[in-house]
Amino acid sequence: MDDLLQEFIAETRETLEALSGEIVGWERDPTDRARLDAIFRFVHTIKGSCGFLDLPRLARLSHAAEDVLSAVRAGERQPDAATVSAILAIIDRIGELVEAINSGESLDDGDEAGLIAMLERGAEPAAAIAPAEAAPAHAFTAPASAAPASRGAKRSVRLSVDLLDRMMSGVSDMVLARNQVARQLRDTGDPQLEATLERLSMTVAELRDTVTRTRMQRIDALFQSLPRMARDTAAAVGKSVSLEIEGGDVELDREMIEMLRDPLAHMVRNAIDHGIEARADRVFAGKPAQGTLRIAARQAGNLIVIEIVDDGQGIDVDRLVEKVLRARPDRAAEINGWSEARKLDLIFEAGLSTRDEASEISGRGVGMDVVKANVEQIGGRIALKNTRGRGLAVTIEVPLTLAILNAVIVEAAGTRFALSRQVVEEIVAVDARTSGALRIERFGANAMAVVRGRRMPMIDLPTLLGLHVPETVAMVAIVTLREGVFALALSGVVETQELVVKPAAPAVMSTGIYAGQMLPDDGVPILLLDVAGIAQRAGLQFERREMRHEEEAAVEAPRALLFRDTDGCRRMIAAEAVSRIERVAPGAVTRAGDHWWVTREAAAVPLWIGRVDDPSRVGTILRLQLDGRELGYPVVEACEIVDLPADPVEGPEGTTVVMLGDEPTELLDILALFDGEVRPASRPLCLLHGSESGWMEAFLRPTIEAAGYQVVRQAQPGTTITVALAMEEEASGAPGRVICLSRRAGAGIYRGDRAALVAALQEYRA
Amino acid sequence: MSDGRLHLVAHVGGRGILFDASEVDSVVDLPAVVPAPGAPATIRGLAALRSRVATVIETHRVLGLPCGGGEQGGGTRGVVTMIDGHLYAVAVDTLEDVAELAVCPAPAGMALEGGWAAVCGVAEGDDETLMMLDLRRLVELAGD
Repeated sequence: MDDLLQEFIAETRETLEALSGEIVGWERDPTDRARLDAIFRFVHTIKGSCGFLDLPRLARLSHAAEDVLSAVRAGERQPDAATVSAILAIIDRIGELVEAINSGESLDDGDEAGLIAMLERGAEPAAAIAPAEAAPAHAFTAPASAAPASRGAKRSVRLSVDLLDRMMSGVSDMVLARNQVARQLRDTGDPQLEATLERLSMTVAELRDTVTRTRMQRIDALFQSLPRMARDTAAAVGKSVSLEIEGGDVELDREMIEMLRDPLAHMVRNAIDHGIEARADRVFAGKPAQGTLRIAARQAGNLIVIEIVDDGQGIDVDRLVEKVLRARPDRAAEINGWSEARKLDLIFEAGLSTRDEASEISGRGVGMDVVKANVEQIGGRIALKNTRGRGLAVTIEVPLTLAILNAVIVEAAGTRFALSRQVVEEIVAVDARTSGALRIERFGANAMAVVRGRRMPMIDLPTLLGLHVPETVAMVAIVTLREGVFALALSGVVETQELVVKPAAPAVMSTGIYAGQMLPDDGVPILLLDVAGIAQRAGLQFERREMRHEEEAAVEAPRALLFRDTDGCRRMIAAEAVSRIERVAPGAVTRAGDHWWVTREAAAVPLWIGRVDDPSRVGTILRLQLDGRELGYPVVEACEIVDLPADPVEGPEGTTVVMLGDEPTELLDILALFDGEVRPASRPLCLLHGSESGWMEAFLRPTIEAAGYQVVRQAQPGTTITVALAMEEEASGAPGRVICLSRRAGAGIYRGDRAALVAALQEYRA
Repeated sequence: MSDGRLHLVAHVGGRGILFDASEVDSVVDLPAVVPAPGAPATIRGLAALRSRVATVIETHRVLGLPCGGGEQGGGTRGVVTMIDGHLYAVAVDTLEDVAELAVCPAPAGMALEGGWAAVCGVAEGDDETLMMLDLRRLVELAGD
């Protein structure tokens, strides 16, 4: 964590330095969009890092500044003088805090709340500027006087990459020269000289390691902070997410690692905050309650590919477009003509978000423009594969400038080549004595290798490249790609070595079968084979796994939702019947009539309270639907979606019990639940007729409804009016059967006589 | 017209050629190369120049000239240049001289095809016209 903090400090200092010009420029011209974007990115990055590094004060400041900048970017707020100076005060304060963290000093809270308040007010410059100016003055005194006594911060300097490269190539030269000297001295047989040389060798080897490390870093360095971040982010939004990381052992150019750090962090936070759904929604969508976020790095050809794949809800492209159009209605014609993929790319536009509200975690939609800018700065590309409801896969490809790879050096086509250890599953020798292990079968121009009964296509380089010397196949390397497996014919295996890979010249790379070049200790260059390129050039077509996946989904068994009921038991209900799992707001459950109701969005749904002690404390309901009727079923929580076991057992009192694993679980009878419920739609209609219908609705409606009717004031076409109420003088105009009401007690049915009215209504209902 | 710049005079397949000396990193005796099967014939392969790997350009083939015989093709000397971060060694038969020469444009109407499209000027040598080649262009053409 300390390393990360140091990096954060170094980076923030550097950015602040670079930004100071932008800030001054922005102050002069607050409408300058490019500068505004730069400042926004800075604040946004700080906010991201703070959340992870647990620096709440910085997080608060940057979050506040980000909100305002975002409003300015969206045009909702004018960048007036007061706003600009408030932002600048915050940025100054961030700088001071960072310095304080670096020196291990504590900086008192000063007027941070005041700064933020000033930002939020944005006006009242006279009152607001004063604390802003007071704060820096106050802050500067503390570190200045205490600086000499502060603990020694880990020191670092920044070097130009050029210098490091020269150092690296100098050391490589030295290694080659050492090898030569060693060869020449081997024959002299002088033990003392050999001992000295041995020492020199070790020193050189160590030096090489150190120098290599100045330039290279395992991509793990990028990944190691993610599990914690994923955990914290998930906890903050109340989701559960499992993070899978693959390929951390690839060593990469430090420069790339630094450039990728922020984009990766943003994307992990995004995936958890926006992509992966809340637990209940996932359960209902038939996904495991725990979301999965997979991050994998691999080398493909002359690229390093990093994939961030979540199994969340994906991006809602329609909402994205809607959002863009709300801000820029003039683009409607342009955007509507775009393809889905093109529309999806709108996510990369500056100042856009799919979330309506910013959150502490990731802000708004989030800075995908920032991510893209970072990736493109190092010559990389970013691509999205969006499946609505199934998840989002983000692929970042960055060029391979330099990488250390564990390589297997092999012989094929009369030359030495390297293969990445990562892709070689196994090397099997052709041996007459163990003929069962490997058999090679040729048919026409194609060949197949059968390794212990497993068949796979075989490629040999001479045939692939149209060389005239046929391969003497002594062994095959079984190569695994993401899509499938093939065998590569080899004439020999030399050794394995850790080697630095650099890109080869374009003319060589354009063959599509090489991923780069390497120079081992013996000083003879080796080309690294790109196995994916070879498979492609050979025309191998692997069956797509995803397609098979979908076929399986099509023949799914009926499924059931397993949940914990309010009495603590686990029960199941057919998943089909559950339209939603809803959290119930406090106070949304009320009693009316003889029933309990859940109110949501102005509609009331009857609540089933068979097993509930105190309906007013219901927290979560399953909304059940049956032919247009609705019912809320209170639960403690939804657990998971399971396949409905095939053979039910008759339980006591007519319940149905199924065996889930070895636990008997009750399966709810949906019809029985609805049976005991009110059915608003099936009540007979009572028409309030005539000029007094307003009065009747106000006074008589509860009585009429208690008698089992639904009240209407107008007969809708297609509905059957069971009975109409009318005042005596208007009764002749009313349709159908009419109950006449009188204004006076004693004549007919007095309209104030509840018992008589109920009796009359019930007579007609029967 | 003398532009006051130094030029490297070389011969490939009996043809006199020139390179701008400021574009040349160094001049080396080419070591054995490691072939790059599948790459165009104009790429001889990879050679290690000390600890750096250079891509060796088979200049004869780029220019469509007869090879001087032998396994390694004609050129055993290499003109080393760095282009876009990649190191190249352009194979030549002989390297004669570094000289300040007057380079003028190629005569109007000359059809410069194939590798000769890299010609960016001509100069007068000993009873022959020396063709000035642009190294960057030559390397590009080798890759086509």
